[in-house]
Amino acid sequence: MSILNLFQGRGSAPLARERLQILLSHERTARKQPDLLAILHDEILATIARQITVERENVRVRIDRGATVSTLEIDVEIPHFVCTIPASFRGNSRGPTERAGYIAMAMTNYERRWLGRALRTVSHVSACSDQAEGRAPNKKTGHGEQPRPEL
Amino acid sequence: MAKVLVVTSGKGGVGKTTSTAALGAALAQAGQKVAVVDFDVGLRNLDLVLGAERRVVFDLINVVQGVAKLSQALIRDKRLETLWLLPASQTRDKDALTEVGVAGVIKEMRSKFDWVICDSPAGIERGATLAMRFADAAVVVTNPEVSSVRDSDRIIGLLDSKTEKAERGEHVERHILITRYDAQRAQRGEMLNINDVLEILSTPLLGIIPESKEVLRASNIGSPVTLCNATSAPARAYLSAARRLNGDIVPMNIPTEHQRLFGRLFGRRAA
Repeated sequence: MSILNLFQGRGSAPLARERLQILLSHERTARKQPDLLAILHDEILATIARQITVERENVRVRIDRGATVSTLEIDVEIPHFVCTIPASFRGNSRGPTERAGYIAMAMTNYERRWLGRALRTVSHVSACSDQAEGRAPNKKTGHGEQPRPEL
Repeated sequence: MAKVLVVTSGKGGVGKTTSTAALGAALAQAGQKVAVVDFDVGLRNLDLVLGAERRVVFDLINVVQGVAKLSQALIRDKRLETLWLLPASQTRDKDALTEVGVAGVIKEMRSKFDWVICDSPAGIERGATLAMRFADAAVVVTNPEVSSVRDSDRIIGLLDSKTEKAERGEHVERHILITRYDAQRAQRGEMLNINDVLEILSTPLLGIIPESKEVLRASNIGSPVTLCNATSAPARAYLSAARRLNGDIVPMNIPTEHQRLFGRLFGRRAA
């Protein structure tokens, strides 16, 4: 070691080593579950598809890794508000707004925003139960005619 | 029956082609029958490093597509009787490489050579995955530098998942070859040292190739460094690495060049 080194202090290699060790431990963990997102995507899609017909590309799953907390974000875009309504909510005793409110509980924020706008522009929101079971393709329910509001 | 060895790294410019040429030549110098195969379609360079660039007629893709026979495409080295080159195509699209085609070529080569050394292109795309696909063993070329070590780790992961052997539940034998190593800088803490790299990658070491002017000189004249100057530090390191590949037990050391008087007086102590 030369005299010059006395003034240079510690080399940068220990830092390189430390950075690599941290990075690679993260990357190796991620590599062990390379299809985690794909698996989640498939399972979420399958679960939703039991009640509502959704297109594959309308289910978005992403993971954000933060320093302390990681978040899993699931964004499901459903074609129209089509879901099963309990009998008590059916009939004329309840107004359309109330029914729509129930539907909104089962929705994502994105859908709720969409619903809010729809209520402002469409005076009557009808929900159906019978046709919705299992399949409920929007064209068969009659809701398909309603133009989707711009978001 | 040949052993298929892939020389890979993930990162470019770390010395895959130089190492393929040097290890291939070193094994041939030891009397083994060796074929080196360039998988870098569109950016072939193994022919240039071996000094055979003007003798290329047919290439790997011609053989894969059945346009030429393997024997027509193989180029025999002018200095070493047992060293052969199968060049990559310089003009074709790399998608012309098919898994079935490559499997056929490798199978044919297995019966004709002791060693088939596949020079992988950089990256993890088709050429690189096909180069490692049928390998029995892998040499992961790594520079003592963060990006190279990270990419080597990624490649080791691929060797464990994407090779035919791994898919059969077998183990692809793998080795780290550290190139461009500067023992003095590592000692001063300016460069990752051997233990750092091995500890991070948890893979056995095949050899340490010191940073040397001889490597560039060898590629300038189109000769593997083990042939061009067999007593130089990198040549001795490659010759030892080749012996280890053959199963010999060779003590691991870092060959050094003889320092000049000026360097000895004012330079730093060698490792």
